[in-house]
Amino acid sequence: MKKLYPFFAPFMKWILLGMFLKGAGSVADIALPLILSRMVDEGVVNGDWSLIRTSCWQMAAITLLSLASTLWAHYLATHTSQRIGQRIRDRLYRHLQTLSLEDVERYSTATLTTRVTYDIEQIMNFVSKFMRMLVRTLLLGAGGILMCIAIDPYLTLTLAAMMLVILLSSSFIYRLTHRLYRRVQEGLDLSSNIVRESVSGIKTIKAFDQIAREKERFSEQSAIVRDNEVHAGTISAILSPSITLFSNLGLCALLLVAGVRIHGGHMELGQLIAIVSYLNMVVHSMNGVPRLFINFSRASASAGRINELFDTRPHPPEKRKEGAETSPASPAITFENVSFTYAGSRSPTLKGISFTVERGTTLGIVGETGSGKSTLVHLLAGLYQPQEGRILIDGKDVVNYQPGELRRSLSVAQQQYSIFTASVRKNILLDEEEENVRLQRAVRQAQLQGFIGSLEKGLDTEIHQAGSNLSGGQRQRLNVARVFYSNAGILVFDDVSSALDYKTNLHLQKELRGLQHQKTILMITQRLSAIEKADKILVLDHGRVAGLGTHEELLENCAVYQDIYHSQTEVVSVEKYHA
Amino acid sequence: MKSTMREFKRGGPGASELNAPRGGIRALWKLMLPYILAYKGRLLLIIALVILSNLILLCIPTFTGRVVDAIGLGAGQVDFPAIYRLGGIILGLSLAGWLLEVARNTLMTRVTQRIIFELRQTVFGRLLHLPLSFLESNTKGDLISRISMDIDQISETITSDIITTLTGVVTISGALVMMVRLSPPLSCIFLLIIPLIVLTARIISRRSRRLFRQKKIAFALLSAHAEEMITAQKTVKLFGLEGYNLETYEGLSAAYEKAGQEAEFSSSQMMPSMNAINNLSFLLISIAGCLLFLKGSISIGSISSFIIYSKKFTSPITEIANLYGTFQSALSSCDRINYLLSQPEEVDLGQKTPDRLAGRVEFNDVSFSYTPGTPTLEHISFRAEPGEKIAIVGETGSGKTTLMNLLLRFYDYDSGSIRIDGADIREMPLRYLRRSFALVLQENFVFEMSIAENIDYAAHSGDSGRIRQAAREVEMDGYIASLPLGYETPLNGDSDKLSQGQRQLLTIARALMVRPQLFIFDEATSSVDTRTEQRVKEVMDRVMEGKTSFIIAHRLSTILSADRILVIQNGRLIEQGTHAELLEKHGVYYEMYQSQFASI
Repeated sequence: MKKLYPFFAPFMKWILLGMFLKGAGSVADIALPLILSRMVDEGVVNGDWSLIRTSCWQMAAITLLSLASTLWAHYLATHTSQRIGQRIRDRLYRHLQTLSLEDVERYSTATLTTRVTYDIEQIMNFVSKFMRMLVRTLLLGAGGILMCIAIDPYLTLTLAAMMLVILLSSSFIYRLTHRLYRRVQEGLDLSSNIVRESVSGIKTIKAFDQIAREKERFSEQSAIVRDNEVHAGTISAILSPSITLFSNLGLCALLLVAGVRIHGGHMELGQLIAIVSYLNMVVHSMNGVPRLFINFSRASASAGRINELFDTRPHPPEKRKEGAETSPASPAITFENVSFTYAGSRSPTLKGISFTVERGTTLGIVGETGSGKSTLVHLLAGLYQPQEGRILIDGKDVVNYQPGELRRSLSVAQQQYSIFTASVRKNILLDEEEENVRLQRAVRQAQLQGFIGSLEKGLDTEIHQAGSNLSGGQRQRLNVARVFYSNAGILVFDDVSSALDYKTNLHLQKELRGLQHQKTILMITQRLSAIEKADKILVLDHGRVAGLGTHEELLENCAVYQDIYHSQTEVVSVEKYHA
Repeated sequence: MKSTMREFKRGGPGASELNAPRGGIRALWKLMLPYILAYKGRLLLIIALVILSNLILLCIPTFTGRVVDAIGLGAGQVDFPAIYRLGGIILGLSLAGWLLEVARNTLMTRVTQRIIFELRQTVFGRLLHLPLSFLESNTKGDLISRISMDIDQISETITSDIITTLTGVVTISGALVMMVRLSPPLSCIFLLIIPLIVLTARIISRRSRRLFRQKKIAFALLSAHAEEMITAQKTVKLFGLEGYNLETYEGLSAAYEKAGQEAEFSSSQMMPSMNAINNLSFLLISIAGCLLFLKGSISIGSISSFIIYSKKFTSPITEIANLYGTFQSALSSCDRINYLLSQPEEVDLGQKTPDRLAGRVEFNDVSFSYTPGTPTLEHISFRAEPGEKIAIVGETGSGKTTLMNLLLRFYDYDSGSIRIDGADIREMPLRYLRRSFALVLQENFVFEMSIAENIDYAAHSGDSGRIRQAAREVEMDGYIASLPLGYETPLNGDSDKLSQGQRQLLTIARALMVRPQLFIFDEATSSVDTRTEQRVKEVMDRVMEGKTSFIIAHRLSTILSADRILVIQNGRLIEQGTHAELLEKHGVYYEMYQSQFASI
């Protein structure tokens, strides 16, 4: 919590004012029994009507003032807590954007979403409850005791002892159950996971007739949750009755002591009534303590998770002196001895990669699954930084590009892309300005015209979350259209054809060939037919360059390429055989 | 939350969450009745404990009042024996109340957790038996929240809320009775205040409920956006969408801040308002009490008790007013669970279990549509002889996968018939039918288990020798053995330990473990590179020797060795024959073939 203080600081005056107002409202509550006791002891017993009248007015005024100041305090509490929450939320989200993928990928999507929403909610809750409850609890507790001291110090000891017992026992039980409930939560997460898996893998489960087994897995996990819940529940079952018990015991003791004091003539009955009222007040304020404890523990757990994210500092790659500016003479892309290892991975995904791509030429990249093709694209786009070597685009080192600047030189159709909940138009344009001619051309080039034409609202059709109202092929073509729309000089297509059928693919390949020599193109694919005409082909094998050259050259001297070629052209020879 | 927002947008089946529940109390009652009956003894005991403990605790203020009276008005008049006696009674009552409450809470936890457990099993079991059509039209998040959050919500209501209400009712009525007994005139004054309490509680809780609904919607929108953007972070970074992303997020965040502020402030008004009313009644009762005291018709102790009871009266009202919101969510949750439970299960009426399958598959004039009016498959007829290898080709969306969905009865066809060895598949027990097939899908599903368990998932053999053998057949043994934990390496949803292609090989190994009479490969090698594909193809050829198999593929190379090729276009079977026959026809297949290798 402490680390989040900077977010609270600007609101400190409001927090203090709110607490002060809440305190003022609570003081009024404390004052009422006092006035009443005086009214009874001096006014009623002596028949002093003017005192009774004044007291009544005083009490009425105090009640109203208390209401007004408490409402104001609550307004400040809710307002401030929401504002603080919004600030933390926005800052955290902004912070998240500045982190490198490597840092962010250590967390799952669900965890991150929870942190920017639920966790902040917990902190807001605590701030609000804190402002509303803490002062009141403290004031009613301390105030009650102080008032009692003023009335009769002997009684106070009894009261203080009672409060101490309640506080100690609640914090003890709280600590006991806290750990248990955490275990419950972990168990629940695990059982949710089983549900998620079962739904995702339902076809596999049904096809292999494993429903009974999934039920059993779920049942075992749920039983663990149940037992933990019962365990924790049984312990916390004691908490709230115990508070009632202790306060009743305190009351007994109080009355006994009061009896002794009044018997000895040290105290009056009206004072006793006031003390009983204060006792009720103190007990009442105690009731909120366990809840405040729970709120605090949730908030501090949340704060821990939030801080963990804040503590993940963005470490932008150091700018390099060399390759500071683009130069028209340099090649479009240069890889110089690039090596890269994913965090947590033992072996490098790319090792000693060097090649250049001249402007206006096309480079094909082939390799087996897991040979590092997509990683190469991610490095080129600056999503990850290589541990060794450097990558230049138009002669400028990738690390020297400002965020967003690279986007104007390089446009990538990813293998694993995302479709946004927005219109078709927005999904193609993304952040770029709309130009009608360009947009129409991109739609045509990506083979989307038929699909968009069939839509009632055309380009303005809203796409559902994750593109769920589109087919795989339609999503893939949207992904490609983004690149066709771009004005960037370098276009990268990372295995975009696998979800497309033959005809669409054929048309797409034609469009791409039409762009040859206008743009620098990187084509990553598994089909040799798509890159055979490329100016150069890079063959990757287990993260190393296994060959670089034209189709003909590679067929001559690259064993890996020959293998791939034969695995694909066997078909052709069969055809020739049949023919 | 993600699901909430989607439903909210499209007003789908779960939109009830944000609207008023439809089923109402009766639906909740119907859902819970079996559990209530199963635990009726314990539930009655709990109710008895609640009433008893509250009544006992309610008596205490009367006795403290008497203690005050026993202390009397002044020095030297204190009646100590009475104080000891009454103190003893209070002590006894407190202990008894404590015991009963602890017993009640403990019992309650046990019963609730059992009910939750059983309800979860029921709902989850039901879920797995629902047809694919249902599962595919609902999001994962939505289904998960039905099983976790909705069931929690309901149990929360049946336990704590009902206890709170019951306690409240007992306390309110008990307090009222006590007040009337202590002093009818003072009770009359207090009765004047009751409408004020009820009205205030009602106004504030109603307004808060409406505002909280708006808050919930704002929260759902915010979470959905955050989740979408976090999922899409690579695309966001590649296309420099940070600005758009932040702008939208901050807009939603500000809207949520406003909604949250309004809702929270509204509900926070309850406490001070009730407090003010309490003070007001305190004032009125004190004044009236003093007047009565002066007339000698009431004792000071009674006034003191009366004030305590009047305070006990208001707090349950506030609590019950606040409960209304959670009760409404429980009703919505109940709707959402009933919606799941009311879905028809997969039809499984089959009884004929053939001894051994030869593997002859016949489609006779089969038609099917996912949505009535737009046919997905029309008049499909073909026959696969035992041991034949059938390839199915066609463009994306032409109906190839649907064909296989019908064969496994993930969906039931509308007309025609599908027979295996002459028996209609609808007359076979579902489990038997599906066990006769090994299915390998394009979306290679890996469970959160170890590699060994994943390979052994379908066979359930526990035989590490066979598992290794299967891995060896798909050429994964070497890689798996090189991992630090080898076959015991745990896999999870998005682990980097295996590449897409390797995951695919794993699912093929899983299918190899069972070796039934029929195989279906639905795009099984499209995420594997061509060289690996070649190797896998050899494995597949070996395994499928003598078995009937169906292969769906985009890549013509995969299906070249098939005995027969079915060409599907727009839901119709337009060509079938061997590769050579189809090429000679110069039809659709020929065109597809040419397009793939046009550049070579």
